[in-house]
Amino acid sequence: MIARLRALTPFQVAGTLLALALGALAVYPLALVVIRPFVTGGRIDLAPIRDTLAQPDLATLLWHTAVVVGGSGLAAMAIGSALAWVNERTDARMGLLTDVVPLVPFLLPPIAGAIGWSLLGSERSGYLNQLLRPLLGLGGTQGPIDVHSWYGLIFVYTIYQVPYVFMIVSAGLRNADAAMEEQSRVSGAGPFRTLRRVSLPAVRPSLGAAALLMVWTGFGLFSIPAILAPQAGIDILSVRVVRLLSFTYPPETGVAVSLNLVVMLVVTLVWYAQTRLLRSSRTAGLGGKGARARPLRLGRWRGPVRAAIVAYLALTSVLPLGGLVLVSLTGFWSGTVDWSRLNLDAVTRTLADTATQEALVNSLVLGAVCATAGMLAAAVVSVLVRRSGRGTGMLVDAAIKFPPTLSHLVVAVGFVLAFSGAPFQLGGTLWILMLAYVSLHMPQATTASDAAAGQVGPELTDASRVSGAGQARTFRRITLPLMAPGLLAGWALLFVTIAGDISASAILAGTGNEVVGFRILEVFANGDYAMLGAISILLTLATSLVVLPITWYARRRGASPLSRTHF
Amino acid sequence: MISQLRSAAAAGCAALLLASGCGSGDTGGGAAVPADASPALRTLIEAAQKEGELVWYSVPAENIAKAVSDDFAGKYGIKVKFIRLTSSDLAQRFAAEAESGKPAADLFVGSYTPFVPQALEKGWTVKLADANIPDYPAGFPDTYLLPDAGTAVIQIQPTGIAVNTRQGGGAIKDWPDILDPKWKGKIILVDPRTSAAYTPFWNLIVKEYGEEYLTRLKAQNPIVAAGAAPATQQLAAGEAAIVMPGVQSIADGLKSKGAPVGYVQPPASTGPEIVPGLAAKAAHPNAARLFVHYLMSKEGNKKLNALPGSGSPLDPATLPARYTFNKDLSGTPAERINALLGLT
Repeated sequence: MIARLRALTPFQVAGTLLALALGALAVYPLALVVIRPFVTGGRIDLAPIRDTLAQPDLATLLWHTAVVVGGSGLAAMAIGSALAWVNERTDARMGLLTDVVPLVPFLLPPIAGAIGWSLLGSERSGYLNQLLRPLLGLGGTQGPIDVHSWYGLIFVYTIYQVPYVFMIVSAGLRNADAAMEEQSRVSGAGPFRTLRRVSLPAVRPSLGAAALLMVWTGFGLFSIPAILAPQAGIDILSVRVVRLLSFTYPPETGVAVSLNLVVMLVVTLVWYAQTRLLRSSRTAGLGGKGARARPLRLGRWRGPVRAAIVAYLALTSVLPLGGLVLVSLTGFWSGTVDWSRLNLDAVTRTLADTATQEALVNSLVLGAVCATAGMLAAAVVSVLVRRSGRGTGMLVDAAIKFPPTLSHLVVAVGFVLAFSGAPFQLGGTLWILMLAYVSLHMPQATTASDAAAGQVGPELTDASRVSGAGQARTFRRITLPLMAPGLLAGWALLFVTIAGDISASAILAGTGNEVVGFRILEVFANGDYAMLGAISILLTLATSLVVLPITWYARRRGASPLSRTHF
Repeated sequence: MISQLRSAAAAGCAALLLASGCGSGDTGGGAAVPADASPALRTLIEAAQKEGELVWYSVPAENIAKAVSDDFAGKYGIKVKFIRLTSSDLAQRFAAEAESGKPAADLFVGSYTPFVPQALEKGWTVKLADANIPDYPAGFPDTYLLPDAGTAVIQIQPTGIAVNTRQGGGAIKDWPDILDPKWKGKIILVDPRTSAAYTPFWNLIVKEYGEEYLTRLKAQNPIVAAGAAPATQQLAAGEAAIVMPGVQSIADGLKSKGAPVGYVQPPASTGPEIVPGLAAKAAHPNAARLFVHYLMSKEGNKKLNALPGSGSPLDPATLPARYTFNKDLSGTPAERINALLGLT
């Protein structure tokens, strides 16, 4: 034991402490909320489980949720991977445009996206329906689109899921040796065979990571089903959980947590499968020989593929943003757009609002700081967990990844109980938001970094160590630069979701630490769609100013990760 | 790479510190004590001015909260900060903060729900009657005082019907009109499952028209909306002709921007009843007491209830003809209401 302890390097000690701290940060606040309902008078009480099983239409609830999360997850895997492949491997890519297309809809916070789509796709007065009816020669006052429907809900979910797949699979493809694909093609294999036999196995870790995130974020999305699902009669778990927590006081935390256990179970299964996948697929990793292969020529398909990408951008980004711009200029959601009455009143009101200015600055700073801290920590943890034995490593990984599968409302209340009062006294500060944001986004961060770490072949790190470099130095000089494309992709995702966070901010933000997500909620409750549109557009502009250069930089770096390390 | 990230993090932290340093609100100019103040009030004002600041959570709409905050700040020279929350968010947040021992708000001004008496029971709030507020209860009629819950109703927001005037919604005058078959598919129902604050309203409907009203409303195939705000926006767009229950402040807000939206106040009504709750461990307890004194004074209460859509206990003419208090409306639990309306 002592011999083993002595063998630990400072890097391992620091990394382990970091991982443990992250685990504690996730588990401790949660324990304060979650354990209470299950303990009555010092005894374990399983009444909440019984109450959960007695929930009205439990089977319907689970079935509806499974269809929406599963359907959108599969669709997003297909669309996101296809976009990534086209962008990384073919001559249909259009520079920065194809790099960021799938990301743009993601820049709109989900609550704004959901409202944008209900503005567009409501049966009678959706802007899109008003446009399509005369265009397609349809009579009547309804249709042809209804966003308050199964397909509508799955569609909007999919838009918010595609970026995760795209970012992670792109990073994976960028790191995987394209030369092998070229060799396969040269050896006479068709594109489909090459895809199946060479490309897909090479990005398997990335696909696994993406699938895990699909499940994790799919169950977690709240604003979208809260706004779109009731009207369609669709029952979604995240909405039911928030209802149980906030309908009346005291909240039905026990039942809410028990319902969330279902989510945890599904996430566990996918997580286990992904861990197996990561351990079994070292061979597909990034080798020591870096050569950039020429992109696949699509020939006469190039035009249609490009058109499809542009159509996707228009459909998923331009349209909802346009809907919000229109509502912001009209002042309210109008069934008939009177172009002469458009005005900038809502925009000026928003720009002049000091609470909004302050919120915007806080959110952007928190987004940048938390994404940086979160990704660096995740990188260290990923590398250590992969190196360590199964037991402890898995346990720490689970402690970090699992608590955020619970409703963020529960987690946020836990953070108030844990850190607001003595001894930490962080209530009402940006620090409590920072802790919560980092902790809540660790699953995204570690999933992205796991995939990035999974692709760094052992030859390079071994070579570094054999040459006499310590573990910390190897991490800094070899592993981190090689993981950079994947980590930067993760950073961008984290930055965007944190800057627009609504769920944890609803409880943790306040007069002293206003953030954009909270401001959006305030404006939403006031019924002011015009200002909500204006704030969302401002936020989208601000986050894209950060994310676009990062994506561009990651792309440039990722193009030749090895040329800079001089192998 | 890492050095770049490190410097980025350092810059970020610096900006973070800067950002946490700002964020103060307006301070009113005049800090004088009114000449006609009683000695008790004078003492309270001086103690509150020494604290210099007040933080409160508001259920009343943002423009109203801002108007009373600014007026109070100007009158007493005390800096006021507030945030606007829905009543269920307010309960969640206030409870968690109170339990952590460090409440961020000195008081809340929220809907009277089961949370209010429970907060008192848990020692998170103190009774207004025991808080040494000068002149309390300030001439409020007994019907507005809730001595067991330790508070008093200072604002009533009667519930009504929002209508789209272009869709003929102007013909609606009272609750039963909504059941006319011609409105089938043209009614937006604000989802009663989103907040316990809707339960008294549906109890009123059951009390006035029987459970049959709810089953007949269900047969009208209403569109279910996630809240009063999106419902009224949908109404303005022409998705439907009626929003039930409608909120006047939201409808008026859209109308003022030119939306074809109107508000109808049926004589039989109930609605959110707004009460203050003083935090037991408030950072600025005297400012909070003075604010309650202000909100219950003739002048402050008038300001609080200046806009249509809210009734003042000091001016019964601002209330609908047959207003019923929440406390007299129970008997039909939320689950039963949802089942009758066809919601699970």
